[in-house]
Amino acid sequence: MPLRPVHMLALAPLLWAPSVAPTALAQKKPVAAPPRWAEFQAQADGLLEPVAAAWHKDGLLVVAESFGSRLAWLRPDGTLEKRTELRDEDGGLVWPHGVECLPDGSVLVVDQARALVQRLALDGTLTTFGARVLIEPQGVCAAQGRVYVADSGHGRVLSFADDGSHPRTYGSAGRGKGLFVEPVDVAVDEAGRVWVVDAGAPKVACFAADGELLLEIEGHGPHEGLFARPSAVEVALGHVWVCDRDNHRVQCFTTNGELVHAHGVHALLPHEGKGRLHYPAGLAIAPGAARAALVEPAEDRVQFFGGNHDEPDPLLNLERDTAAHVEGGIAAGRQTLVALEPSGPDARLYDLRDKEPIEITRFLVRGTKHGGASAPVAVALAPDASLAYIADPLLSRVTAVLVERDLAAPLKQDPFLPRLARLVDLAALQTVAGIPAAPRPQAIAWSEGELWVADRRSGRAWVLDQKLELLREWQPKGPRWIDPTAIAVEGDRVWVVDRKARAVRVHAKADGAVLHELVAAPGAGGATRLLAPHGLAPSGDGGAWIADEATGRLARVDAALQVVEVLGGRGMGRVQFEKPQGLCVSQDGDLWVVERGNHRVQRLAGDGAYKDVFGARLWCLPARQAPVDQPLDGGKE
Amino acid sequence: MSWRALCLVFLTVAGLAPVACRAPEGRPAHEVAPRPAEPVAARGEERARPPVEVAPARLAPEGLQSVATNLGTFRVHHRSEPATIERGKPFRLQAWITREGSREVVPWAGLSVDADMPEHLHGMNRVPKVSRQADGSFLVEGMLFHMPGRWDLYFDVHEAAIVERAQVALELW
Repeated sequence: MPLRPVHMLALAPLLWAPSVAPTALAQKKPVAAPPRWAEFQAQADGLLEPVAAAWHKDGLLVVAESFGSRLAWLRPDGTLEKRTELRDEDGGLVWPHGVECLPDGSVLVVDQARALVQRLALDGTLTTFGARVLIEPQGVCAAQGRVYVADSGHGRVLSFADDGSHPRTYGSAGRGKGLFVEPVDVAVDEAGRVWVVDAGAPKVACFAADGELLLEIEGHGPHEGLFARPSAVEVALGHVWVCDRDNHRVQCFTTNGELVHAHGVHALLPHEGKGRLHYPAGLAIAPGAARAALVEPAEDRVQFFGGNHDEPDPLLNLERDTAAHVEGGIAAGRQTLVALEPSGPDARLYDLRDKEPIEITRFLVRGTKHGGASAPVAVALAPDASLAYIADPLLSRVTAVLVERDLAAPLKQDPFLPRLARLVDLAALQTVAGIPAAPRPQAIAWSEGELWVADRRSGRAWVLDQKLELLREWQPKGPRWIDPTAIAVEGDRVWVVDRKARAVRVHAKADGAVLHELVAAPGAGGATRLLAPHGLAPSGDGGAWIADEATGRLARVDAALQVVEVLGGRGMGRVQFEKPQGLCVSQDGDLWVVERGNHRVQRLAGDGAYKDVFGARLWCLPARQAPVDQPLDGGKE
Repeated sequence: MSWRALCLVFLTVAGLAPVACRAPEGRPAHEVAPRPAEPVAARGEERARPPVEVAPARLAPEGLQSVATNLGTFRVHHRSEPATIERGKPFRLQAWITREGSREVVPWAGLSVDADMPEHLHGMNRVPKVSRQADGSFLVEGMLFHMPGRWDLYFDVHEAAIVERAQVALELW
């Protein structure tokens, strides 16, 4: 009898085992049972995209707020002690990510905008290190006189002497033992072993201080011991805690790689907290492990947990639903809408002929094989909607999927509709074009028979034809792109949103010159201020719509990037947005807005009036699914 | 400029052609033959081209089943052994890759093979082995469809940085 998939899933926890024999890690003395932190103590709301935290020697929790370009200093009861604005030496905004507190009271902050580490001394002195060495740094930790940085862009961890000199390397880019796809955080235990969490693989790897690989705990899935985009790691009391973001939990392992427990219950109701978790991305364990703080960027909050008891949490047996939610890219064309769910990963195709979108099929599977995806973040549709192009920065790949439909045929679900047509491995450009690292295609746009692919690694665009053949490279002038999250090509202009530069630019298509720029500046205020622009869609009148994740607003700008109109604000009502990301305009002029925070898509008329909503969360109307066999009759169920 | 041409120019100049045809780390294993190196004039210099011995083109056998890739660039001619694929029984494939409209085997193209059940969102529980044969074909061993239902068999043709897919649907009971 063939083994059904459900059987394989049930067996997964039994099949899982650390992939390296842990003989080198035998413990010399028994270790006390690690705390479970099942006791919710407090929460701090109203932060601006908190992404990481660390405990300060004064007993305060230091939280990096990336949208706010600042540090929040929180008391253990969740109240705010103070805030520290983060600026570079020239007074510009930084994009803080990882944070760590040193014994002397100074604070290390990873600045992703400039790819370096800032050290803020108590007296306000600012020094930096790691410039021109790091690419897309993320987590940071300090131990035994050295600073360890997850150098994500290079696929490695670097450790520096505390003055920034003498870097050492742990791991390198790739897939396999001791290799990293996207190392996002690092921690060092008392024995000097270096623990690295790789969100892309996903896995946790342990290295000896000299760089020898000792252990890997790996595997994707919802079962305990497996991970779904793990995002932070901490070591305390002889145990390793991993923040398992997309499974909404924290897992605790021994240093031999054995699972001790998993803790966390998925929040389902809007902004549900008080112990319920929603995409926890950062973890900070207080000295002595008496308390832990979990950072939740999706909810703009930090939750504090205590307790040290071993009773199993009665809520742990709740069934976990790790189904992906809409996030990031969206594209529309010829009665077709494609929305991405990177955490699945998944791409969903909807029919737009009815008054609300109807799901026809979904495609993409997790993995590196052809037709697979690791982190699909952007999608473009050919004008006739025959091909959907998916950009996956972690695989350095653009995939073209045939999704051509007969719009005269009855509407029905069709799992066989998507067919992989072609894919291009952009990593080939690393050698061919002489760029230092494999491209990370992050935004794509279709224009006049050409596919424009914005590459955050090389800060330029690659122009491909419909069959993904390379036509040319396109180099923008002006500031180098840091984090291009949206690109659009209209006539002789190229629009780009550079998220971590907090800028929107219009370039001349001919020579790449910057024609107009809208950039957030320190102190700039008012309703038109952009804090974290993410998505962009041409509005059809020479201007464009811009989504600002931080303020939850949509701004309509004219061709010169002058703000004409501002819509929305944060919330989950109609024409309110939580962390809006992808935007697109369909043939009928409607604007579609993907909200990461609400896991939904809102449809607005061209004048900004509310029309419809669909999504995966409970408080949203689910999109109707077409019947499997029986076609809909004129759109009426 | 196509990926193939761009890659060829770089690899020829760098003298890396055989090395660069390795599958990247962690990518699906497939067989790719090294492309013949063509002399390239550096910085506009005129060089005397040495005589190149041209091997006779290999042709795909006639009478095989064939399927075009999804964008119509290539055609995959294939046969299975045994001729009828049955559920739960191992089988082998032999495949030849030509350009659409031609019977000449593309000597530098590579092939990987996979299969899925789209209704069930899973594929095979085996990893087939693909090896290039002396006649220019590919031998695919270790295939087995373990469940009844519709299977989509994928032939992924590799050319430089591009992969283009051909697929065949089979219904097994």
